[in-house]
Amino acid sequence: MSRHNAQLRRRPRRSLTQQDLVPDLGVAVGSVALTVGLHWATLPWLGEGLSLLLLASTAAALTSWRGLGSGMLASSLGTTVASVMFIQPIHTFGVEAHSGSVPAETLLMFGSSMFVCWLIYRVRAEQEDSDAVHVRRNDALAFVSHELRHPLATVQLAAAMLERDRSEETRARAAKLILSSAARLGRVVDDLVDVTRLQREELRINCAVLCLQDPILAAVDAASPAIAQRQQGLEAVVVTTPPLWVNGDEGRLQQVFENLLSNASRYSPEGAEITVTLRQEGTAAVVTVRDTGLGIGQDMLERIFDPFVRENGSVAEGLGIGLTLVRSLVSQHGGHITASSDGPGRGSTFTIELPLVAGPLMAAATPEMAIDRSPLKSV
Amino acid sequence: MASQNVLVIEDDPDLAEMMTWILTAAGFAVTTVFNGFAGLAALERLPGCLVVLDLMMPGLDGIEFRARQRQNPTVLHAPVLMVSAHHDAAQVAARLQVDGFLQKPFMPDDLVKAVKRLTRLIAS
Repeated sequence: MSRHNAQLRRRPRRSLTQQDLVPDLGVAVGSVALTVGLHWATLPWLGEGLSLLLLASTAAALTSWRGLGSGMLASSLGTTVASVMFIQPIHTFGVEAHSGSVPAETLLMFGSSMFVCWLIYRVRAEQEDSDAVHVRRNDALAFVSHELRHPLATVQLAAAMLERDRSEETRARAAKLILSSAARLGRVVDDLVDVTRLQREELRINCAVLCLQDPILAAVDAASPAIAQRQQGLEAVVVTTPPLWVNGDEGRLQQVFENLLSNASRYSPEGAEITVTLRQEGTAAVVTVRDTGLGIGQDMLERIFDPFVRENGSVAEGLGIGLTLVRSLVSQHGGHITASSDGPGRGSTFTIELPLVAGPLMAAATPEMAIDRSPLKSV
Repeated sequence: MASQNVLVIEDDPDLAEMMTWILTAAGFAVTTVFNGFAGLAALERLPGCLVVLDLMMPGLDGIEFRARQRQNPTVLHAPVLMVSAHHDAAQVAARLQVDGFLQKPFMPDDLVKAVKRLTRLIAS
C-alpha cells in the first residue's frame, strides 16, 4: 500500500498552482538555458533547424517530469528564445531565409510543442487515475479480509470459552457475542453485494409513500447499542408531527441513516455526542447527522463519497463504500447529500435533503401543524 | 498478590469484550478502552501495566500510539502485545519493535500465553 502511494507521489502534478509557479519557472528557465547553450555550441555542425526541435523535446521531457505547468512554461520560453536568438543569427551568418516563413515555422513548432505537452499530461493523468483506482481496490480487498477476520475472531474465542465452561452465564455471554459477530459478518456480505450492484449500476429501490420518521427512528434504535457500547451519546431530535411523507424504499432509507450513524460513531472518540435531526424546509425534509468526532479535512470533503476512500488513510472498520452507497441511494430517492466539517478534530455533519410528497395526513394538516417542530423522540 | 494490570486498547467492541473476558478469567485486572487517545490517557494512570494494542483503529491507530508512547518517558517501558487482523501486521509489529504480536483470529490460550510472557518481562 505504501509502495503504491510512493509511486503516486512521484507522478507529475496535474495543474500549475501559484505555489508551484516559482520552482516550475526556475526549472523551465534552467532547462531552456541549458538547451540553448547546447544548441549554440553545436550550431556550426548541426545547423539552426535543431534548436526548435531541441526546445520542444525539453518541454515534453519537463511535462513528463514535473507536470503540465513546467512543460508549457519551457515551451513558451523556448520558442521565444529560439525566435530572438537563432532567427536573427541566421541572417547574420548570411543564410537566406524566406520572408515570412520563419514566424510561421515558429508558431507551428510552438503549437506542436504545446500539443505534445498536453498529450503527455493527459497520458500521465490517465495512468495516475488508473493507478489510484487499482490502489484503492487493493486496499479494499485488504479491508475485506480484515472485516471478515474480526467477527471471525470473536466467534472463535466465544466458542472456545463455551467449550471449557458450559455455565448459564458463559452460554448467555458467548451467545450474545456470537450473534453480534454473525450480524456483522452479514453486513460485510451485504456491503459486498451492494458494491457489486453499484458497480454494475444494478442497485435498485422499491418506492412507496412512507413516513420518513419511521426509517430514521428504526435506524436510531438499531445503532443505539453499538453507540452506547462505545460510551458515546446519541440524541435524536425528530419531529413526528406532522408526519413527513416521502416516496422511498423504507429498508434502503434505514440503511442510509444507519450507515451515517455507524460512521459518526466509528470516527468519534469515547464521550462524543452524535445528534440526528429531522425538520421540514419548504417542500423538502432535511435530515442531519452531526458528531463531535474526528472531523474531515477540507481536501477529503470532495472525495469522501468516492468508493474505497477513507479519511486520513483511516484504518477504521468498514469497506470504504458506505458513503458511496449512501449517496447513490439518496440520489435514487431524488435527494442529495452534503458533508461539512470545520476540519480534523472538530466533528462533521452530513445533511440529506429529500423531496416531500403528499401523504394521507399532509393533505389534512393545518399550517400550524406543518411548522410544528417539537421533538417527539429523544434518545 | 495483586493481579497484573492489563490495558486492552481495541476499537471493536465485541472483540474488546471477548479479550477482557478471557484475560479476566485468567486472573488479570483488565482495563478496556476503545481508541488510542483513551489508551494513552489510561496508560499514564496505570503505571506498570502491560498493553494489548489493536493496530487498526480510527483516530490514533496502533502505529501512532506506539510513536507517542516512545516519546513519553512515563509510559515508555510498558510492554506492548500487538493484535491485528491486517495481513501485513506482523511486519508492522516488527518495525514498531513491540514485545509481542498475535494475528487475529487467535485462540484464548494464545492470548493468555502471550500476556503471561509479557508479565514475566515486567518481572525481569
